[in-house]
Amino acid sequence: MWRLALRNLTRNRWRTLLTAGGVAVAVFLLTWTNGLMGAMEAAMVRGATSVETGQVQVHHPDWVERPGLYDHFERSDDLLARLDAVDGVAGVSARIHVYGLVGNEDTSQVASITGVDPAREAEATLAAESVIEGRWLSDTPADLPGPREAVLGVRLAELLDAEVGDSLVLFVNAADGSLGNDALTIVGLARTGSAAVDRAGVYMHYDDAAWASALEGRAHDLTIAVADLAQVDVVADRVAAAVAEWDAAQDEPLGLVVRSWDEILPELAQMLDMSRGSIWLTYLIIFAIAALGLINTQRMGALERRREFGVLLSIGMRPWRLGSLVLAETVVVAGLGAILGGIAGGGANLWYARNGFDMAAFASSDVDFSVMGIAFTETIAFPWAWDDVLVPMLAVLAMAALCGLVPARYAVRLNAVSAVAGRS
Amino acid sequence: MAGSPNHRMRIARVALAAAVVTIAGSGVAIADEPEGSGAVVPTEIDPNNPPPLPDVDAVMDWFDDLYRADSSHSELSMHIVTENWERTLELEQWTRGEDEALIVIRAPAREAGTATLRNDDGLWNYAPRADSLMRVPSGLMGDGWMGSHFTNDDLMRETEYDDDYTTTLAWDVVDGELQLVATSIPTERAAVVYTQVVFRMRASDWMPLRAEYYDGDELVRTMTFSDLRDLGDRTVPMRMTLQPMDAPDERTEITYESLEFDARVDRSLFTHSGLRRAAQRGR
Repeated sequence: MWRLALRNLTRNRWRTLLTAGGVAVAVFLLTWTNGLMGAMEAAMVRGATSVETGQVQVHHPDWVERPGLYDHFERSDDLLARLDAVDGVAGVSARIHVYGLVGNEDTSQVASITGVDPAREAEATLAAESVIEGRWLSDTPADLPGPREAVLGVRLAELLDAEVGDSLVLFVNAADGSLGNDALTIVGLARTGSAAVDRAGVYMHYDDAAWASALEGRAHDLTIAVADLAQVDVVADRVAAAVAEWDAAQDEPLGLVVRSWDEILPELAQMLDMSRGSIWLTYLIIFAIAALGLINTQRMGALERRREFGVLLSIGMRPWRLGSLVLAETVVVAGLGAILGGIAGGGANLWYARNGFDMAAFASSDVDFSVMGIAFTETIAFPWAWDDVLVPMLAVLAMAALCGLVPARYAVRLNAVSAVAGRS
Repeated sequence: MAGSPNHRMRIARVALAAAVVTIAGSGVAIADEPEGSGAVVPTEIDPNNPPPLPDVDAVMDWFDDLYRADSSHSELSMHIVTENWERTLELEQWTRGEDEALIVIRAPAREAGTATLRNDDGLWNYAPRADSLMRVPSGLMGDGWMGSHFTNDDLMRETEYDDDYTTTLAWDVVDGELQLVATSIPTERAAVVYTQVVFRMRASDWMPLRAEYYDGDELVRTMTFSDLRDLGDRTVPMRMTLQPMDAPDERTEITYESLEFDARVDRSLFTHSGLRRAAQRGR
């Protein structure tokens, strides 16, 4: 019967090709949309977590309630070593966060100062990689006396009208109540994709920031990068176990809190859930268009072949078998389209997975802006997943089977005598 | 309650001046003896039978003189207690006229040389490690000065209170002691921080006792004056304690160690280079 269906389809090749082409376009679009959504989702998570929060973080319990200058804990080499050894951890950075003013005699801006171990930060976040001008912080602080090294968010530097090499003054509200001050020299400018960091962020060496803010030996967070984003929950559990063990051994355990990115940024997790939900609307629209086209052509074909169906019934073909034949034809044409669309879509996704997709295609002009953590100047790579291709193909086949029922039902209910006679 | 409500309210200004100017303002000075103002100052008062209220103008004039100085030079300590830390700053301060003030932190060593300059151009902080000044942006005026309970706005605003408040006088008996109470409310157009300032004075000689600052009906902070000391030809409160009402365990206490009125203070001190000289001295 399948062979018969195929032979019938070759009788009107143009129609078959056009119908299959329509289905192929639908499958291609769905596959490509899947890839793009996956890429944007990954870009959002990466954009939101790769600079500020990492994928897992350790905090003082009070910080979780409401971040504050005094919610710090010991920056322990022992704890850092334990976390380095956790399976699946790609990097651990102990950081302090203080607010202050940076500027000069003419102008000043409120800045969010992050004190980091430059080498560790480079392993745990993309801060070092996001330097677009100048360089990242040296591994060891600059010699004293002399200005301290600082990497500024690119927008902050614009607001201060400062560039690499310029000197700035720093005032910070220190944890002992004093007003810490120091001289900074800008060694690099960072474009992180995070509006908050680009607009107000200042990276300094941990020792320098800790001195200015009277937080020597303390940390506000441990920021952890996981090797595989999909494994984040498993790694977070292992980190939590290691932190709990260390914490319990302290004189005064603080009950340090370990959270993964979806707990640190619940609004991002919710938004991703929503966007995953909304993709079904896209599916529905593309399906509806493809389905209407499919039903139309297959039913037209069945109507044209009334006499042929009548003859087949007259020579003894059972109605259900005729119906099955018509249904098989629809499934075969859709299958052909699905394969073509799958190959094209899968190929496109593979290509974009290797070469990346330039988000500037969505921007009307050469402007620098970002939406939900994705800068529209960046090139994002599609993630490669068989599901992205197979799900649309199978879904289209299922849809085709449903659509095929319409002409099949027509064939089954056909009266052989009147069909052969050409009467309706 | 008696008094002249439509007055330019100088008592409010003085109340804030005492609170604020002591660290950065137009100088604290006891001028001539009160009788020089022409006010009749009672010496012995029966709380149950208070004398007629003095004239608001007279009280204000007296206060104008009380806190007026062309210049001043002082050394003081500022003890700050907060929920998270407690510390004491040793400060040196110069003032000139109503608008120029310079405060330099001398101790602790970590902050020594940090300074704040107020002049006609605005408010500046000096970072000794950077040997550089930075203008304090208007957005940070509500922040505490050097972690104290005095705000940058306190430092900047005091001279503007002149036209902003209207004052009435009354007698009040507290713990059997008669007090002269000056209540100041802002004029309608005034953009002020406090909706009412109540200034309590000793009835006998009008020496300041306590200032109360209200936001709406709520008392938000008080300033207590104590340690009245005779400096030869004048008497002045040497200690002021600022108490925020929403944090009963916190306070900022200023204690004068030395206080010289009409001292020789060079105008060039209140420039950027003068500030540098003053800040770097003693480092």
